[in-house]
Amino acid sequence: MELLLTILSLVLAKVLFFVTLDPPVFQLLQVLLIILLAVLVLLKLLQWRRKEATPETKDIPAQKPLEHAKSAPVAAAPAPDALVEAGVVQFLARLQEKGRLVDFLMDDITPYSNEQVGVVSRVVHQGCREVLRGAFDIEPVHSGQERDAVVLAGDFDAATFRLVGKVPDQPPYKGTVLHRGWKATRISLPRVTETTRDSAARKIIAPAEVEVG
Amino acid sequence: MEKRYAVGIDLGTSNSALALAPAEPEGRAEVLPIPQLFSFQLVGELDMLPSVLYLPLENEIRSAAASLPWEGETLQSGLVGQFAREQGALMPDRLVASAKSWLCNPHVNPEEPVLPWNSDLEAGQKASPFQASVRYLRHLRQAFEHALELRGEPAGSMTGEIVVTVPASFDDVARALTHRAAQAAGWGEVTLLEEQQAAFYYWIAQSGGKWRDQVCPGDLVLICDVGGGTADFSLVAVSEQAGVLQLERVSVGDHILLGGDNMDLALAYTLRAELEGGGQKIDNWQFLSLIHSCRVGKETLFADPALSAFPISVPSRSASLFAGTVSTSLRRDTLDSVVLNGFLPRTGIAEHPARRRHLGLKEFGLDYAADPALSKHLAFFLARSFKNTQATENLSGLVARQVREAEGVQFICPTAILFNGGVFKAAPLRERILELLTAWNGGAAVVELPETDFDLAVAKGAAVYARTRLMGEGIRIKAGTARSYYIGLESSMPAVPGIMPPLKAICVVPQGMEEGSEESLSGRDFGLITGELVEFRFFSSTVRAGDRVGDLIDAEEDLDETASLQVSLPPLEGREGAMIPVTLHSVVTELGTLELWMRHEPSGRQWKLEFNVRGQ
Repeated sequence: MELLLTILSLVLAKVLFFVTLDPPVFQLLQVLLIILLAVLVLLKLLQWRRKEATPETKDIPAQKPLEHAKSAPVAAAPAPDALVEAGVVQFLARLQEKGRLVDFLMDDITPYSNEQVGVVSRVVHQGCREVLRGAFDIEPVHSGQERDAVVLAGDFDAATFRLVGKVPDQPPYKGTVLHRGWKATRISLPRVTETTRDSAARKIIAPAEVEVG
Repeated sequence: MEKRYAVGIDLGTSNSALALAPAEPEGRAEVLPIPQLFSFQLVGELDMLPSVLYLPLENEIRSAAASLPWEGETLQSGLVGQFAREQGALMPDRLVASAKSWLCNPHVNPEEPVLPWNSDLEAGQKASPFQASVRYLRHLRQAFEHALELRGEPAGSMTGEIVVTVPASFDDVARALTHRAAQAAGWGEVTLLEEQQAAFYYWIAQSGGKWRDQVCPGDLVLICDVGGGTADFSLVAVSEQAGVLQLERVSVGDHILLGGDNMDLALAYTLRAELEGGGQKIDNWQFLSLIHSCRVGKETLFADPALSAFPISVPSRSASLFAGTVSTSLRRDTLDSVVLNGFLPRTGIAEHPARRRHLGLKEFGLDYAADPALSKHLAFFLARSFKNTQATENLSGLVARQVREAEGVQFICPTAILFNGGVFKAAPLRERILELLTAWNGGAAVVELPETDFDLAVAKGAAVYARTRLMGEGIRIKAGTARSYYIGLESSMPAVPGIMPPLKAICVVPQGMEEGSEESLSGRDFGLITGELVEFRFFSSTVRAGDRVGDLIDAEEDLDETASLQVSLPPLEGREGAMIPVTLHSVVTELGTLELWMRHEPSGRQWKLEFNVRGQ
């Protein structure tokens, strides 16, 4: 819109300057040019106003975004980013449900003895391990043992191997395996699906529990 | 239409699975992943579908955002699978489980909405065992079509040979219901196969032709199948005809409601008692978590003989893990005494399971095994198999080499054993059963046939069998009906107060009657009055292999009352209300279901007898 108006004004200005025209037409075009420029200035002003206004609406909790969603139904379907976020939150929810991971991390463990932490960590370990094994097959990157001597060629993949220590400029890179690394050989993540429903439920990691009866 | 897929469905009591075999002789059967809810927000895939149905609250339905990758199923009809089991454990009143065991419960009408059992839900919200089975089978069908779609195959033109497995011990009413449930779920015509045979077919397929080296004529293979909540035994005989190995299923056991879940539960009760002895209380929610940890502990200890104990921490439901976590440990001696010696004690061949105590008042419910000792159930099965096989020349010939006698009991000792069911991933349990059989066999070793997939062999074997049917090639186990069937006839005698007229039963289907065959009860006409509903009592037996069609026996002898049969004859033209003579014909269809027909010979007209739904 803005672009169109700018081009029109430029064309008009060019015509006014370089083409000889009858006086009435000349005057009409002059008026048109002024109107076009005025509209352009107005548009720009409005944009500045909106930019300044947005941070304010963010501070008002809940109400504004909801109204927004109602007036624009397109916004109801979550953007791909929102889906990815919801997927991560819900995977965290699995780790919490099975392995109480969030309970464990949200607690301050400083006052507890190592033995107490040990007892609790079994809950976390058993449950999170189940979730992890359900979602991935995990294997070491280096199939040998730690402390193995290895030689890497010049074209080694820096994502697969990380060199540490005193690394020369030129290959071969001779060294010792400190950590065998991990890679996922199968990935089967549970998914969240696109929905038109309110996605607030997807931010719940663990619902509050109420025992009835 | 050309049939293109060979599909095997394991409709289990606690878990179901789905396998597909390509229509080529050596192609491997593969298990198809089954999409299911992981929470109200998440959908994931697993090889197994827990056979449970959770009936959600209205509010749960409203906030749920997860949707399965297919249309037309709403949460209103309940949800099936992994999350259903997890959520249902917290709300047992809304969880339908073990629907399959209810299908063969003689006291309950399987089409009556009675599940969840003992729940306070309104009848309108409950489901019948039949409906629950339809629901699981429908979920499996949708998963199957979805998998085809992902492979770029047109789902609409789904044509295939579909095999659904049922326990060998299922009577014909339960078989007919399963068959009908598959139809209602949209699978079309399906073939039924015994689960234990399916496991055997998978063993044959995965041996890659080498199975012929592992068994020889005269061998008897025991298929020992222990699932989550059930145990089933079958015997298959190996014989030779013109140089070719033949297989014949010679005996099946009762459906025993006893399995791996009972072991986990027994361990959890033991540990809870230990904790309470130490002054620590745990609530019902912690107990659920304890059962789960006992299962993990059992598997870990059995898999690693070097471990002496498995430490267990049981958290409370509170967010503070440190406040309420109780710690204990599952010691190896506890595991051995509860699981090995409790469920598989070293008992003699003459020790059979304790009969159920008959109390004056008994709560209706599932008929759980009264005796947890699987070894006694196995001894009973082997003794009964002897009795069953001696009745016919063919069967007694097949087992002749393996008849043994000890402690005054005649029984059949298998030469080899094939294990099936997740429980047997634990080597010590397999070893204990081998030890028992060897002891009963007078010290001669019993061979363990190598099984590669204890959880999924049944589904894969069913797919292999479906392919055999599809292509007409491959070995088939000669089996036929596992039971013989009878119709009750009341003897005519003068009425005497207090004495019931003795009941006679006439054999209408002999044991081992093969698929696609027909028998008729000649020489005995039934007189039926037209226009009236006529009912017959219907019996069955797994131990009377010698009975032929038309044999008359006392109804007290080894017969189980299975159902009642009913037929209503529309009035024949010009003979309203008249009594007409009809003869009875029994048919075992190619699909493995049993049909009984009444035929009026002069007019050639016939009417099908329908099983009356059971229950009072």
